[in-house]
Amino acid sequence: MEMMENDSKTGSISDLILTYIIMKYQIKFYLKTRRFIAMLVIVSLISIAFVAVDFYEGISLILSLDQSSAIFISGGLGFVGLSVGLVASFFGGDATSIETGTNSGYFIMVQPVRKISILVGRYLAAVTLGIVLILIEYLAIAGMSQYIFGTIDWKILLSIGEMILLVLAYTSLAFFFSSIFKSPIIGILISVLFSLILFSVIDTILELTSIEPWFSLNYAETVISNIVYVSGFSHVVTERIRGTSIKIFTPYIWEGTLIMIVYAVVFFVLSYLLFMKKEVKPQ
Amino acid sequence: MSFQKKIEVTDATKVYGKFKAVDSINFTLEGDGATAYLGPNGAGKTTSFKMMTGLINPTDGVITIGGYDIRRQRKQALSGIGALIEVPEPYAALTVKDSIMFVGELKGIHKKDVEDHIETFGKRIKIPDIDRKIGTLSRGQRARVVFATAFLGDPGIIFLDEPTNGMDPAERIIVRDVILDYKKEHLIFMSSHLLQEVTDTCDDVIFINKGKITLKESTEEVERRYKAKSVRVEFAEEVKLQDVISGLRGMASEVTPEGKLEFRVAFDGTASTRANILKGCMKICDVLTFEDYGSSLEEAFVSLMKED
Repeated sequence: MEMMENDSKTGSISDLILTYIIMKYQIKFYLKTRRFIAMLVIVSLISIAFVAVDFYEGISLILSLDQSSAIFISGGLGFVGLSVGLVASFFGGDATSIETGTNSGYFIMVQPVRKISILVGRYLAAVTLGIVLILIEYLAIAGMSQYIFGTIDWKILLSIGEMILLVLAYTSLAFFFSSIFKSPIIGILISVLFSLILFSVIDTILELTSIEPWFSLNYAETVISNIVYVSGFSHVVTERIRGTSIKIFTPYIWEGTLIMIVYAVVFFVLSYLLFMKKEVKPQ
Repeated sequence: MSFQKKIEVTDATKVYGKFKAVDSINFTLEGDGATAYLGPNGAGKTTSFKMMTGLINPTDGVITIGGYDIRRQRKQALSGIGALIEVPEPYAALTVKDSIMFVGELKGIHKKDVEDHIETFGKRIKIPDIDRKIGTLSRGQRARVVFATAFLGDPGIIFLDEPTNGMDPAERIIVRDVILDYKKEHLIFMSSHLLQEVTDTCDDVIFINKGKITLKESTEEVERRYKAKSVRVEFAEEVKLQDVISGLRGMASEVTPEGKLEFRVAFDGTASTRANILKGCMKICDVLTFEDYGSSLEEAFVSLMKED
């Protein structure tokens, strides 16, 4: 056989465009799955519940208790962290294991695309959809603030910035679990377990021992609501319960922001290193 | 450097714990044509395919595809190939069209060319309705969709690991014809359990057993060397085994009954002995059929496995 050069129709594409293609099809894929519909239903229900409770309690009562748009928004954003953890877990918990632990890998991993493009494309898709879904909750809170107070405190924009950081952090954590575990389901479950239960348990235990949980994402996420009404919070509050004094910590804005950035960067790098090392070995 | 139709495997080894799945294999394939990679289950075929397509990394050795090191220049190496490895599962929620378009975009193929490919190649291999979701397809239908993506963009090298797995006889014929067409201008490297399929389509064969290459030869040469060494005889009436053994004494090395009328007769493989066996059988009783038992490739396969 004589050596011949290829005359294929394929063109050389930059890694940036390949990343965009991966992201585009990943979003397309998510939008057609039941998990997206489930997440949409959950955040919509939370938003509807928020509006319904406001009307049930009575607008005049809210006006007398909250006194300002900032206090109202800050209170409403208290549950956003929960939704972020859930959404990131379901979009990121199987991001890499679907390629290394299932037969899907035989389809995509033989295409001319670097692993980093696959990882970043998937990450951007999960983060984009996560942010879009969580913004539904912001819309409900902002809408109610406008309705009740006739204004929306501008600091809600700062909160959106912190929320984006939280989505990045939780998504990185979920990607990390998806790179550790072979089974996509296990990766999602462990991510959900961490975001909904384990972080809270760790925080509570540490508070009982008066240690600041500065390494907990659950602790850091409170800056999402605190940033709208900074003067309403102290870093440490000592309370006495049955003769025992315990310290309740609230992160400084810079501290919470830093924790989220560190989570986002460190766990993304770790998931990249694991994904690079992993081979396609379906169960 | 542009992509070449060349596969170069040098001392490639894959070890899982203490088990050597592939043990220092070496071969080079260049230019157009089809080469079959044969061996029993667990011989190391799929592991080799996975190493060559970058799905797993060799523990040792170097593999270059199209002139590019698959480990260090993964993107370039995969840019000129099409691959169907194991049983790929495109994303269940995407449609057939989305799945093919996805691969087309990743390969940098113009949308119009992808649509033309779906129209012409897709029709030829009878891919399912392009608006159907992958998750609703049977295994054979999914395999055809992935088969279509493997040929997308006219890649110089095509890897096909058991391409007709899960397909019915009519689908197999379609795939065989595609391989026969494409091998004229492409380098096709394939594995198959259907040796007749290999005989019909491949110019060269490489045998692997227990992770080691045992033979690399042209199909023609293998057929010449491993001519059928058994014939199947069907008599018109019931015949006793002892009568057949006596009648073929000095010609047959082994006679095995395969029913009341049929016998398998092993011999030295030469044409003269084969003719004498036919004459001997006709003396015993009228002969209804007299044919080679299995193909030359089957003989080679069995012999090589025994040698090991």
